[in-house]
Amino acid sequence: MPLLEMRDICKSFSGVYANENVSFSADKGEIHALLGENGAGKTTLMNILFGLYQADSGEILWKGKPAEFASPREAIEAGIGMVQQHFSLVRNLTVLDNMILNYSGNRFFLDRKKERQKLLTLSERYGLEVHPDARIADLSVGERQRVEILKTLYREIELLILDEPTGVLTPQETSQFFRMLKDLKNEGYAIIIITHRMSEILEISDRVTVLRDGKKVAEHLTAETNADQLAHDMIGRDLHGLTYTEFGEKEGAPAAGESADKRDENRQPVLELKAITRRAGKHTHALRDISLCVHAGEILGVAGVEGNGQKELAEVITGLKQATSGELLLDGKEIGHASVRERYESGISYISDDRQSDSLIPDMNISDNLMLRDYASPPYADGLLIRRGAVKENAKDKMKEFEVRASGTQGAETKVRLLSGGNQQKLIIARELSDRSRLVVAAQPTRGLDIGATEFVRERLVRKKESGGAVLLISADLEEIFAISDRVAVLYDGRIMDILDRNELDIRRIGLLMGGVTKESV
Amino acid sequence: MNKNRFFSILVPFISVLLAFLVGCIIMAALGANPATALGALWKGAFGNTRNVGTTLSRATPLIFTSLCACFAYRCGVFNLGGEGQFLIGSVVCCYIATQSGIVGLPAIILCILCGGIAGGFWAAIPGLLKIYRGQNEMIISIMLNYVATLFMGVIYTNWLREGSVPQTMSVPDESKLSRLFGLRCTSAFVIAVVIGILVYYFLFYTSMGFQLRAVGLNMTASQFNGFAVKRYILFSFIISGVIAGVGGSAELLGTQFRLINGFGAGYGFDGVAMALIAQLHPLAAILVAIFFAALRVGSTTMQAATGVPTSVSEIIQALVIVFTVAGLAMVKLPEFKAALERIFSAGKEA
Repeated sequence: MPLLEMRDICKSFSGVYANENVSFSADKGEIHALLGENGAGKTTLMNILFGLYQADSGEILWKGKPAEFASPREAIEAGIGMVQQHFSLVRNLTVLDNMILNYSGNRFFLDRKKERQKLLTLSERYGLEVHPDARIADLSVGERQRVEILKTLYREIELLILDEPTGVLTPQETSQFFRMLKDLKNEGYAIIIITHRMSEILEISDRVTVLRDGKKVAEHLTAETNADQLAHDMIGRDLHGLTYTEFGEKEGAPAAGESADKRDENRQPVLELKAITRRAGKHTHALRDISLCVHAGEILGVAGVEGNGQKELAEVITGLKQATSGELLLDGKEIGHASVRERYESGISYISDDRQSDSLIPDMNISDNLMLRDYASPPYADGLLIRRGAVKENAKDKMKEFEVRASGTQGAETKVRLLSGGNQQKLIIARELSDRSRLVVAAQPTRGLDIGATEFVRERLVRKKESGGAVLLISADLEEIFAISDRVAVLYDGRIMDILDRNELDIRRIGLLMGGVTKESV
Repeated sequence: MNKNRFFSILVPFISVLLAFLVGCIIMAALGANPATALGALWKGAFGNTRNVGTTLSRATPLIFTSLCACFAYRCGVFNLGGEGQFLIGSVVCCYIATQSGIVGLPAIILCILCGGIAGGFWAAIPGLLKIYRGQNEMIISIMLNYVATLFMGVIYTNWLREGSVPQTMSVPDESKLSRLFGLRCTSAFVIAVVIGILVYYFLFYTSMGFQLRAVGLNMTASQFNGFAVKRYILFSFIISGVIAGVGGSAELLGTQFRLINGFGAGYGFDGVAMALIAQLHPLAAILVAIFFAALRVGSTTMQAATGVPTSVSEIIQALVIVFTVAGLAMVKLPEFKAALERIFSAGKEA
């Protein structure tokens, strides 16, 4: 009898399945890895187990008995602990205080001495060294994670769930972390680890379950599988053949067999990155020695699991963040020190992945948001004063051209807050894909959009490219990358693993690269 | 009209009605006839041109401080130091008016200009600390209020003290602001209204004002668009301080003529409350300031005529603020919107 069994779990959010008939189990003294792309349903499944969500159907057996956890508290009391991807520690309290905060033993009296001893015993036993009186704010990320794990162990759990635990760790911290996991496993804990890193799975886990689009697609014993197979399971669909022909028909180019080099000769490089490097910050990922080139009339896709430097790459190009070193050229001119505004004026436009917070001002109306970039220049303004008429005129034209639909009767005066996600994105496209833009940096441009809006956005990007613009398409959606990119760069851990031409696109290879496995190391 | 807009205008009016309703209950409990009392209140505030003049004169400093609050809030920063900036403006103004020897119109222009600059300087301190050191602008600006109040104390008890009473000498008669139509209210009121209109025009009709509001509504997006966010924050702080400083100067030259204990006390926070009731609209702020001034001026007449103490008027003022803030929060609640929808759809079917 397994310690935990989840049977046919279904969970949908507004009609879309996040989990569909997923079955899963975990045993004592075992590390079970849960693998999948972004949005495959890994975290949802674990959140159901931990009582954060309730399943629509299916059942959970805990120690052989049916169980249902209405809240994390119930899950913890039953013996299930979870360390979320984003830590939940009180920064201004000490380590010990954070432990006690979770305390549910004796509600009235607090024996700090005893608790302190308990903490010290635990941390010694598992080699999780932290000072009980250190303030969380003063600890490194690796140490904070140790505190998080201690916090769960403190509650005398039997099953430990870790959501992307190594995302924030340095390689040294990671190997130390793995040693600790093995210790815990030998102690008889059951461990579930959610990750997208292939090498880690192969190194640490005993069993792997792969989820894709909310469904369980495979379960392997780690000893009997390899990176190649896991990559195939994770990405699944054979997109390659399908989209290639589709693309060929649609665009009529490039002719099959024509080499990448030959085409590049005829094309003007628009954006060039030479050895761009950026140190990791508190909340940012590092970029390591990134060199790439986007040509006129080309869409360069950047594939990769999110959190591997995508956002930082986009922001270094658009000027929101500075590179630590390296060169950034637009049309052959160095722009590494230009401001956001100057870069926009020389032709870089940006479709951010967080449209509500980065690209729009939700409390302003459509016409104001459309002139956000060019608020001070004709036709919207004469020097100091805004020309309301021209602004309205522009809004009307753009809304028509880009099919922005505002419900209600106010048209261009509608606050952007009230628009649907698709219409908001169309608005951004309408603003950013103006004639002056030479390079479009599009980060997750179709995230959260319905099929119609998605098609619209992709079509506009392709049209931009056809009219001689350059597009850098950063997307976690491989299907999207395959559908419209001419070349594909794979980003992993802040590094470009490889840049593949359209002809050489191979789903397995991309999957391996995304998991941090190069050809040589397989 | 837009539903949200409609409610944002309706709520303050309903709040005023509710506040008066509570006020009436209190009056009745005190044994006065609410109708008579309110009548006296109205007469005291607007009964004749003389009273109107007094009301407008009382409203003038409030208009300045509420415009001061409006301006900074529009850029998303909270300037709670309107009072300090107001006082520093009046201190500098007083110094120049009494010590420079210049009199008449040149003195007035110079005094008001320097008062404005002083207010701007006082506001620049929290602004600079915010953008360069990330300090909380609310705390710093509040603290500077005390510094300004105590500094003014030094002025009227020591430096510019006149005679045995702790107060400064008076501004020369030639440098006083002229009265409008012989009423209590002076050209300071005109200056306040003009500044209000300028602020409105700047915020809504210039590209700089557009950027400033954009920064206030979404700082991240403004950064992504390459706006000089920090510069705008500092700018809005300084201009906000200039408005308060001009207000302090105008109050000194128009109404008080000398600095004494209690000069300008409470105007800063009154301004903040009025700006919030006006929902940061500069023109609405002028009206709200006049309304509050009327309550204050009228209450004296009310007390004299009906024996209802002026504190009842203060209760009403406080309730207007409480009801408006609560009301504006309420109409944003999803539950309220849902209930509204039900009522509207039921109305349509019927």
